[in-house]
Amino acid sequence: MAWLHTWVGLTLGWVLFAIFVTGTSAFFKDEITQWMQPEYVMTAPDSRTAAISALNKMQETAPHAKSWYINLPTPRSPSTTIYWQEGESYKNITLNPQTGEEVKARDTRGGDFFYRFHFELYGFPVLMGRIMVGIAAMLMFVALISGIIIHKKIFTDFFTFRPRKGQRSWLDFHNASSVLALPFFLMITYTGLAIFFYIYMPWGMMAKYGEDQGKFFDEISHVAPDPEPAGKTAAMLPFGQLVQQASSVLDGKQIARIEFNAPNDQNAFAEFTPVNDSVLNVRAPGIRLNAMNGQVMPDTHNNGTMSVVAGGVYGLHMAHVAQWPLRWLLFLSGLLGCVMIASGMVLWTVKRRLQQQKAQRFHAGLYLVERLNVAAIAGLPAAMAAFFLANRLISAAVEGRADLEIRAFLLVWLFMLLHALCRPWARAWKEQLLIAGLLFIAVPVLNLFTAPNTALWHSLLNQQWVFAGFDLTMLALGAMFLLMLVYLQRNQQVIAHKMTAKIAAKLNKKQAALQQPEVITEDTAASSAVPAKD
Amino acid sequence: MNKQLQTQAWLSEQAAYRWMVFFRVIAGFIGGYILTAYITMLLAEILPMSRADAVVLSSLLSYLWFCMAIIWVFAVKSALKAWLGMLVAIALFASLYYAYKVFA
Repeated sequence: MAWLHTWVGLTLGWVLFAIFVTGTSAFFKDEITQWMQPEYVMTAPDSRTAAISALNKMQETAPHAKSWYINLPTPRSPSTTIYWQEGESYKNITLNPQTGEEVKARDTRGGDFFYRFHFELYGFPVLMGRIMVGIAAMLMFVALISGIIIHKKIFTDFFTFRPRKGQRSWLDFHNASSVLALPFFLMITYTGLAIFFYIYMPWGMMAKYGEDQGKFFDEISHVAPDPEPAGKTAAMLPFGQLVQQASSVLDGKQIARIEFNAPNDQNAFAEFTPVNDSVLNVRAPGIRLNAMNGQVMPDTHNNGTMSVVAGGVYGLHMAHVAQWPLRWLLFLSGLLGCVMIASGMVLWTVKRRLQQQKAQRFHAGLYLVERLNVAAIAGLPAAMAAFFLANRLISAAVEGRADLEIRAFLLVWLFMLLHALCRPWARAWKEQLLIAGLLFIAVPVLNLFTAPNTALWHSLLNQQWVFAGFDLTMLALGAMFLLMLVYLQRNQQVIAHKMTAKIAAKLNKKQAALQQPEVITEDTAASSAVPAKD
Repeated sequence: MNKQLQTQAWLSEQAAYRWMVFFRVIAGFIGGYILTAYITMLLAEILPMSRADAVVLSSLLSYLWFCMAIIWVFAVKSALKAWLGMLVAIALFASLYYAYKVFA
């Protein structure tokens, strides 16, 4: 079982690491997007004002769309987004919630790029990307469960750390980081798999619904079908009155989302979902109003247990109700996940390197794994920092700049990979840690000059916490990489010395044992048993 | 004695080990997936709830079966036993599923 854990971890370690790093950033995807559009800094108005301005804009833009979807401002994202279906595709516009005017901010994928990367990767067809991530997630799940099983001393090992001891330190570190956030890892991996069950495990659905997947989704979300459009145009209640009515039915709660069905049709109705800060279920229902007379329509949502459970699985993974403290805790747990995966991958190479030094021969696999580790662990974060830097360096007016940002991310990552392959191993680590650290620190520094309205001192003074938080996080990440570099620089010699001494001692002992084969001391038996244990 | 037997074996020890790993991977991941599919289909049929609810619950549970199957295949002493056990389990759940479809 121990080797199942080891090999599963190794084969998909890099993909998993990338999924964890980008997925962790997705806890703050709205904040990242906000930072990446610095020309757009505003405070959100009352949700009723925003609702009316958004509905007016929709009426003006797409009066005969099949339906309208409106996401109103939240504390995490102060703009309104409107979506509608036009032909086969969806269109969307970001609005100033106060006026309902279209926002002209720079073109960027923002935090959404990393969010989508974490479950679709990049450059693959959507389905293929999701399946690859699914396989990695399933192996993560297996690695977690088998990791718990092979780890018999889970409690004592949590309090065990033997620093500067090479392989042992890495193992202790791997164990401690895994155990600390184990509930989080199990939760996030399992819910991630469960969300896409219709891709990964569609067999139950196939058995009951055949090819008609849409029917399943209808039944799990609603108990009765929605009214069909009548096909006749009719005048709707003025939006101001409609929103007023919704607000009073919702007891004055802030409105988060509006879904308008068949606007300007006789059977038009609108669904108002209140801001949800306590219910885990992402599909927590809103209220439905007839758009002609403002009357409340019967609730047709499926509120059955399994339906709530399915929505709750989504809610857990997306952390959609998490307030600031919990959100930061989840972010830190995600970082611990990255650390756990990274330390496991390094542990593999440290152990093999020791064996290789004993056998004294070159091993191509080890060479490659060591280099890929560097390019993943230091290279990917550096590339992410480059993505943020590109956002500030590429002029806001350039055509197709969103793609240029992505290209900068990919190019820097590729450079880090080539660099890791070419440089001596220990140098590659140090140089890449330095590059990553400097790139992260450069982000808030560059921001001082390129977007002075969100410069760090400015955002701190004006309590723009999203911008200040982003800049401070960049500084903290940069400091973390530089501290790793300092630690490596200081201790590398000591550790290398210890390891060589250990190997020499072992070789001597072996030779001594060979000369007197009948004398096996307890000591040699114990030291040869050590590698078998992990 | 033992050493001689090993050197005379038609596969070297290392090659035999690698084949053993390969066969377990197939049994665990592909066999385990097929087994999970049958368990999930059977559960979706027999769980006493509406069909949408049964699909959700059986699908949510499916990952546990899959994970257990993989770990079991790698924990069993011999690869042969793992293969036999997997085939028997698949045959059992497949016949239960088809029997249910025919008789119920």
